[in-house]
Amino acid sequence: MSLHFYLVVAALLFVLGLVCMITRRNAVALLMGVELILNSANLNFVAFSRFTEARALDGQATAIFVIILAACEAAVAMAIVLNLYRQQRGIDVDAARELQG
Amino acid sequence: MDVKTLLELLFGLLTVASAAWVAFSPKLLHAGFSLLFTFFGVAGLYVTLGADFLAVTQVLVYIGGILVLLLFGILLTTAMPTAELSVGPSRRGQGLALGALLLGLLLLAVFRAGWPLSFPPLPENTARGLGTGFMTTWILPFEVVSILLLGSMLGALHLARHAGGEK
Repeated sequence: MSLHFYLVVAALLFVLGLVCMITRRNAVALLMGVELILNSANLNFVAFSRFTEARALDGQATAIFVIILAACEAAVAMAIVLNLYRQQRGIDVDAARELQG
Repeated sequence: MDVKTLLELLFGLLTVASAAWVAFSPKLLHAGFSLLFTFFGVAGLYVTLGADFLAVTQVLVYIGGILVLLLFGILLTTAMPTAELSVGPSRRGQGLALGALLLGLLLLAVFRAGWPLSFPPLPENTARGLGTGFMTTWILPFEVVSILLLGSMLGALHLARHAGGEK
């Protein structure tokens, strides 16, 4: 299968993640959209490193760094979501207008 | 059609279909479980691209870590049955239109650009190459990301402990 197949799958994944982030109001659902977008970026990294002249492992190493950053982001975002829930008994991001604790 | 092409199509379809369910499911828990299949499909695509170590990492970190965290988050925070999951229909339409526009642009870019394609031979074992790379070529980002991971774990712990103003 050619590079185009992977690029199209990654593009679809990216757009679905973006739509998820735009149309959801629940903070956890927003996080899911972020994870979809990160996965699509990773897929692009790996596909390009497989199908172009670059050394094959460069893209994979970058993808591993992205996975580590995604883990950091998920942990911190989950802590924030739990805080938000305790403060206003819900995690509707449209209702979270106050930045000051 | 050989087996590899079939597997690629299958994993691609699994990825996209379950990602669509993540984005459009009316129930949050269903979206969370659908994300499991998305991560698994992406791991399968990594295998077809010859990235075996990365596929295992994807399963371990995404499915074993991040997804479990998200599911815990869903179960801990959805005690409000009246809360709306998605925005209203007008903003939903705007989001879909924006997504369709972006998808068109991306597909145009994918098929118009002249990618300098080649097909280098696969390395025998990616784990050895990656391990050597992390200790030589990428040693600085590796150390930086280790410190970042430690810092974000401490930060997350601190945030989650002193919640809601009551110290």
